[in-house]
Amino acid sequence: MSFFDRPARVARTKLVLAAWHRRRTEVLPGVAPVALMLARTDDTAVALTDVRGYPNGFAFLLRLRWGPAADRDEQPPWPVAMLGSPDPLGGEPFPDELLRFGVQFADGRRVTNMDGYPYVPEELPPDQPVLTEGAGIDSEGGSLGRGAYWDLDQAVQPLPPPGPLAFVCAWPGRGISESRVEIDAALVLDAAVAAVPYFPDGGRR
Amino acid sequence: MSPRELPWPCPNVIPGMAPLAAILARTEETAVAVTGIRAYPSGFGFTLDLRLRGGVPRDMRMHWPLAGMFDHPRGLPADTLLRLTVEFADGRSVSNADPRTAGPGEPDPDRPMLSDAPGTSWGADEWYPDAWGLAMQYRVRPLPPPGPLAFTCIWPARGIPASRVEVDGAAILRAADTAVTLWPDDPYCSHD
Repeated sequence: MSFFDRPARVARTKLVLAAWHRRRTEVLPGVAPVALMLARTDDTAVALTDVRGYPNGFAFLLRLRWGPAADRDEQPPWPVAMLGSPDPLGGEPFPDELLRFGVQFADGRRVTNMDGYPYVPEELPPDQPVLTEGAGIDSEGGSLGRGAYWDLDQAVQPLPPPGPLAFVCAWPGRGISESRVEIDAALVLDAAVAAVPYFPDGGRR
Repeated sequence: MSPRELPWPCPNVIPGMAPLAAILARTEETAVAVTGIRAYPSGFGFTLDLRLRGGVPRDMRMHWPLAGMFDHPRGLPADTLLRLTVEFADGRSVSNADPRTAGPGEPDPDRPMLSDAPGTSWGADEWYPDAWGLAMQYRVRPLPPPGPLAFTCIWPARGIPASRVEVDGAAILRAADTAVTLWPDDPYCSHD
């Protein structure tokens, strides 16, 4: 069984936003000293930095890099499933050109960017982790004329339990097989504890 | 080259991270924070986070209140803009209010340089009429020496007096040691 086996399609979904998305005046997240190289080939890298801890989840920057290409005019396609639809692939097989990315908690719970992300089943159990946009640093990227880069702001909620926290990726179209890097979840939990309100009243006036 | 004309870090470098997140200054309605120090082989980046609430001018969406950002079309007075300064432990410093133009000749490699962009803002609109936020990316070169690295700001228009927060320059140097250059022979990234 692969980490990236696609979950079954569901009929009723809901859009998930980061818990701090609507009230961004409330909390300055703590920052974890984490910079990971999840996978790397001669012309592709998948890295993860800017891990920020909130009281109810954590955000991070997924940094995708393509090296110089033979054709400088090549326009690279967007490397992740398009947002804005609960069923962006319409049930078609997940293309090899798209990055597969996921997070796994120490207790086995996991979430990936497969299928409807950031839409989830309406009946999703409340303790099931969800992956959504980070709502902190705007995602950006594109062609540089000789390669490409993308910095994708992502978030997972809730916070992980203590123990190993795994970041997993695979990118068949770029020659990256399933790759897994683990950190101590305490790094994320410590950052969440270090989060402070921007205003003493918590921004709730 | 002006201290404020600095190329953005080449995307082929994955930075190391120094875990800083600190409130630099705040009043009842304004908060200024420094966060997310990303360390590169030749310098470091950070995020200036602004949060405003109550009485937020709607033109904040158009004219970000940061010194040196661009030519404000109506010639906003200096005290309406936030002035940010980065001070090394050896006394060298650079500010976002420093002039963009510089004299002839090669830049002094030891003189700190500060660049801004990109930045993203939200609020002061129909969805968030009484709140506004900005995450502005800055980059400083060269790396700081060991010792305290200070971020200071002053923003008279929002009631922010001269304020200061210090971090350990050595922590940034250690983070820079962990930065990864993906393609060292990339001809498009000579600045890094």
